[in-house]
Amino acid sequence: MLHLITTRLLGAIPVLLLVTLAIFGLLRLAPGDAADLLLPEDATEEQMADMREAWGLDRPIWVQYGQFLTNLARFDLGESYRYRAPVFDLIGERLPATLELSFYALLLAVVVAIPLGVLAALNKGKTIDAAVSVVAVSGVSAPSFWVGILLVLFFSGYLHLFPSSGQLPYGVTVPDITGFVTLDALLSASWDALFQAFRYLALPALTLALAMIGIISRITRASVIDAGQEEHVFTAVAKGMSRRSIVRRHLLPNAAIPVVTIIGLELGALISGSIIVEVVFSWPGIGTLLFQAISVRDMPLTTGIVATYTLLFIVLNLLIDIFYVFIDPRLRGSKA
Amino acid sequence: MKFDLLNLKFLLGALLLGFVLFLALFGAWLTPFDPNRQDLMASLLPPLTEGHILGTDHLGRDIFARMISGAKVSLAIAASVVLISGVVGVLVGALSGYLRGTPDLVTQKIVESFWAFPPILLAIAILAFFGQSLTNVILALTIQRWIPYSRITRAQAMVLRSLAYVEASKVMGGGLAWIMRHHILPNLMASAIIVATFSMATAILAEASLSFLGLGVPPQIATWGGMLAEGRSYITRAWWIAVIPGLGIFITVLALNLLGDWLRDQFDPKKNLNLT
Amino acid sequence: MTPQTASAGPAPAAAEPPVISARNLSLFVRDGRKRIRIVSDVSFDIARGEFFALVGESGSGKTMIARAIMRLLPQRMLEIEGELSFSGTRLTDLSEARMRTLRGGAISMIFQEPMTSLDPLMPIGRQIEETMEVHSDLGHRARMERIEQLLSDVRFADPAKIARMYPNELSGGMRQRAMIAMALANNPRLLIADEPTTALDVTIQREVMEIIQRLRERHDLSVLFISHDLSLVHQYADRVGVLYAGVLMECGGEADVIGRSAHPYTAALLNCAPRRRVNGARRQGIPGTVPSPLEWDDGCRFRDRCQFADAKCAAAIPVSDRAPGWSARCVRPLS
Repeated sequence: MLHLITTRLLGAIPVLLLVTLAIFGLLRLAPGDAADLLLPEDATEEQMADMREAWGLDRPIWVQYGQFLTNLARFDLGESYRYRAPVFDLIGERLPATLELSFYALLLAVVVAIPLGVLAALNKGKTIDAAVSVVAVSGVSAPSFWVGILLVLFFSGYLHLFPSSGQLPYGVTVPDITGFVTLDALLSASWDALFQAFRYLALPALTLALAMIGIISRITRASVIDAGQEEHVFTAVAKGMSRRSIVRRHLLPNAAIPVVTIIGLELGALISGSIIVEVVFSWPGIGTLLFQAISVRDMPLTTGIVATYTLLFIVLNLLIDIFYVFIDPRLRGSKA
Repeated sequence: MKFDLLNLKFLLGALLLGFVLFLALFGAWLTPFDPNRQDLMASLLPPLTEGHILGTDHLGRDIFARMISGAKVSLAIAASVVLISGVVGVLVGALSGYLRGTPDLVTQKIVESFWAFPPILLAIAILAFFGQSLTNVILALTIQRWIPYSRITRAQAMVLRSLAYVEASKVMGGGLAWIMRHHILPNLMASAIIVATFSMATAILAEASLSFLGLGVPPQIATWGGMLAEGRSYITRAWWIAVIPGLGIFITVLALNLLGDWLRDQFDPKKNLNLT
Repeated sequence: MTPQTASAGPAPAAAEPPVISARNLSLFVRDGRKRIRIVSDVSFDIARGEFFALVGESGSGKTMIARAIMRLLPQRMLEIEGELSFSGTRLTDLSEARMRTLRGGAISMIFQEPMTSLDPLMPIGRQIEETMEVHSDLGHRARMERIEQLLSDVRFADPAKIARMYPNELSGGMRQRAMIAMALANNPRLLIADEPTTALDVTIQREVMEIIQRLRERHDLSVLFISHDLSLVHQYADRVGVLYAGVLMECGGEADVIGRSAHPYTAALLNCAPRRRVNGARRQGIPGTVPSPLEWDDGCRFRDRCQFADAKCAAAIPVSDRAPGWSARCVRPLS
């Protein structure tokens, strides 16, 4: 099993290298560089040359790439043009908010979608199956920024039940233990803050979860139906097991595997969806930071955030790949 | 090949898509208003006032006219993206699968690297670094979209390659091009069309997301995503400015998803009861 | 029609009902609205400790009979008409809950594809334990001991190790042996074996059949063996039933049915068998194809392919006895 894990880890390395190369390429191929962006229009050639030297832009391209890689390895993502602070720190400040939002959105999606999918599969052809289908296809087709705005319009503007932006109300703070607001509120027993934190999470998390609910419920339904038609289910019936036991012990575990696959695939959508949802709800994560960085053409910050998202994605996929090895014996075995 | 045309998915999908297409193609003749003409005296008018079927936005521009413009943009961009990514994907996949060996290995690693980026992120990065233009938007949207096509084509090509060696004498000097035309493409058609339909749906969503973030086509052109972004600030006073474009996106994408589902059902080998 | 009982040996003690008794059994499948008959008016018995082979080509209905006995498919999918009894109890009268006590308990079944018939995510021992949890009161320790005993009975050298393994870690033959162990866990009266060797290598086939035979003798087990492999039938069966297009064409002792054959179809089948040559004649296939259930009528369904058919064969054919315990549905049986 260790062998399988190391193979996967090693296989990720060339991909990581190519990805860093792509990011570096984007950075260098882009028109305009630090000198163009930071210096005023009437800067002299000499001033621009000095600036370039300061940023290391006059060295040969492969040296620059090497520098880029070593910096990455040391978590040195450069300095933001705009904020004049290390990109790494800026991202570090806001990453927990993004992770927290994504976590709750995924949790919500899984908790809602899987039971819906199972329900639809076990009641195949009946009204409830059609209803779940309708919900699923709508969830997948509705743009998240539109859903978010609709939710704000209704629950915030009309009903005044939920806030429309931010992570916590003005004046409410939570001690910075882990960086995750809900966790910190829990750990410091600040119940009011915890309640507020969830109130602020509600609409963004729901918006982000909606598209995932659509896909996950459909795949769950399909995979439960497929699992029910497998031969070993007949064997279980022939053993005298009750329908409930068969569903619980043989059907659902086998159906779970494609569902884990789809959740893994949805992680990408989760990450890119979170950018949009953060912008819609002014959520203080790296998504809004990216949006702001782009609008002021802050290259280092933009690159840093792009790299962070990509690394997150690669690592999560790797973890899911490795997780598979644990849950599916067929990936481990060889004949006795 | 028998198609079940009385199916709800097909009817609803075709109806909605037909409606959107009709508006995109002929809508301009249905309204006297210019999508970009501002009239501050007539700003923030609700739907069905003063001849504005869907109302006006904060600058007095007619929303119905802008919706039509947006429809054209979305459909045109999505169609181009799907076409280009399809062609590129099929070619790369076929070559990769047929040639095997080092070219295949290298291509696959490149594919994996492209695939390693979360969906919209690469598009955002390209537009952020290289600026906004129609070409860049299409490039940004195509950059990952060709991969599913290359995967199915590669699988086909690999299967056929082993056949090709056996049939070598029968293939009269055709080589890869001949095999592609006569063997790979026909078998691929069904899967490719299904992939293309869903791909078009995601392309529309992606383009709208980019426009929403201000990274899509230059802002002078009316896009659904852009309209939504502008309408955000007026959501409580004039909800229609943001809600209607979103509805447009929803209907179009829904139609494509329904049709894609229907197509997938049509080509699915139906399971028969085993009688003995 | 006369009930069929063992043709060889002294009659068993009076009034012990046969393990399986089928009378005028017909089976119907539902395809949407349509109700299609796939097995017509079949009658046979299986006595205690008897190895009964049900032979036929694919499409003959033999697997459906097995499923009907176990009621593996719900009534809305597989309808049973006529009499089907297990040790005197009518199977069609039983509630689902009662059926469940029989399945895996008094009647158990092994399937054709050992590859897909076992749950890939569960260790072998656990899958065997499951059936014991349903049917016995043994504690966990006792169950584990019995599992090791069962696995060693099917000739696994290291039963404890096998019990911990997953199906994908075993070969096809090993999986089938594990299935046999599982099927015998609760000391069944009847073992239904639905083409258990078809997916296996010839050498492994022998091994599996020997295991079934040995266990059968030891436990006085009845076996309903479904197959199209006539050589295996010849070697192991006590009695044979030949099924064609849902009709039981011939039924009797193995020596009679296989050795002498009253029905033209049986004879034709034997001519096709790889190891069987009639008077040194070459192997021949049977010209024509099996009629589908939609084409069936009241007359003999084999008449289009039978070299002895005549006008009488177009009418309904009654069962006629060749000898006590041996019958054929033919108006022109072979002599």
